[in-house]
Amino acid sequence: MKRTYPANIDGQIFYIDEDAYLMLQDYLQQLRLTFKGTEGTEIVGDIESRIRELFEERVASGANVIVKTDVTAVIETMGRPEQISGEGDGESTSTSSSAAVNPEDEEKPFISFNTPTRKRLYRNMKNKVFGGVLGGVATYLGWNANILRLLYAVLACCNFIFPMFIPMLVLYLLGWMIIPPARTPRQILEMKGEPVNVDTVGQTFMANSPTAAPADSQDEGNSNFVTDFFSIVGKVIMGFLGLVGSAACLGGLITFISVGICQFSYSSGLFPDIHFQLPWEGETIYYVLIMLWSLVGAIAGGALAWASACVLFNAKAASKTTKITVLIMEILLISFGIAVSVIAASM
Amino acid sequence: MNIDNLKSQMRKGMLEFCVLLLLRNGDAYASEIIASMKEAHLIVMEGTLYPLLTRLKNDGLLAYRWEESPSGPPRKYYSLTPLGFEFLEQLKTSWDEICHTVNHILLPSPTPPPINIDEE
Repeated sequence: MKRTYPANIDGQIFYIDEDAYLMLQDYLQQLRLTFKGTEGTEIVGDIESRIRELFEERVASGANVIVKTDVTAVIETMGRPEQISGEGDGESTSTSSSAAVNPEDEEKPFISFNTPTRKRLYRNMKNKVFGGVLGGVATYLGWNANILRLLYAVLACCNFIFPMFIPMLVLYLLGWMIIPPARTPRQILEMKGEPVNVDTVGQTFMANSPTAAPADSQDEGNSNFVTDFFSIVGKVIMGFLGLVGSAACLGGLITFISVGICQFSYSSGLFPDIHFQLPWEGETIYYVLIMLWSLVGAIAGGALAWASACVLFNAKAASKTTKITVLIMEILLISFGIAVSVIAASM
Repeated sequence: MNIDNLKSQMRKGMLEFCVLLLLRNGDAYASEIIASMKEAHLIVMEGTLYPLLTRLKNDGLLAYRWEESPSGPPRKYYSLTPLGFEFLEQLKTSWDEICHTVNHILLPSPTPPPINIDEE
């Protein structure tokens, strides 16, 4: 007995076996990744409606349920994404007659399910304390995640003693931003370096579905003592950093605004009576310097506060675009700040 | 020199020409075009056609309209635009030239048999 899903393909309902469903879903996903933009949406839409036609033919010939072989046949008819996008690159081998199919194609008759699995670095969402960065790196390297965490903690402490705390922290935050999380069954398999095929995808899919029993918690689960310990220590540190971040953000903003007002009132001459006694009155460059660095601090503090809020209170994570924009802004501000500092120092 | 690469290059150039040629005789929807092309052993992978059609459409050589189908949802019928016809004429001319050149070298006879793709 197999589970069957009703699937809407181009406005038509088909009953599809679970494994066939996963395979088709993966195929369409691969197509969407290959063809992007509005043009890509159109192409994938057209291909989907062709798949509907092919399935309709299947149903008309008496099939009640679309099974794996039907999907395989459809994918063989339509071509794998790389064959389609190559626009006939795959044709030359296959057209010259079906006998001339190269052995590689023979071995793996359809789509990405046949791509050799390369281990890829993902954030491990099943084994994480914060963002799953170390869990992911450990999975990638084949290490025990807790050993890596311990190592990281020791290095971070060394950073504390020698005044180089930032690099380890920054490294983690960068990893969090850059490394994608493993969410889909395919990504989870790629993370572990396991072969991606219908069976494994199906298993992973089942294991990750909310109804599934908590399986193989021994190496996957969050609930062992060491992870708990790191989780608590991490949360305390995160809370502390969140407080520091909020303070820095607030302080930075207040400094930025108040110094800005001082400089404005001085340079515009609008309020000659109001006189702020700042030691370097008149030296515009110092105002600029203070404003720049306070903004740098404010943004960094804000980002830190947000990150800790994400971890501690499940706040909504910022989008990738936002993160990148903020990062670029911060880098620009820092380089500006350094440039202005150098100028100020040489004056 | 990669022979497969060369072959696919030759085929690639021809594919678009053939799609335009097929549509010259009347509008068609994707599956009809596919059927004719498979019949002529032009494509094996059906999917290859879709990026091609979309590109030709975006280049203004093809246009499409939605038409009700006897079964299922409406279909996209493609037709040649005036620009498409113009392109087709040019491609046909250069195809004739290529045929002439290749046949001239290929066949030692002084008067190579004309290969005419135009059935009219």
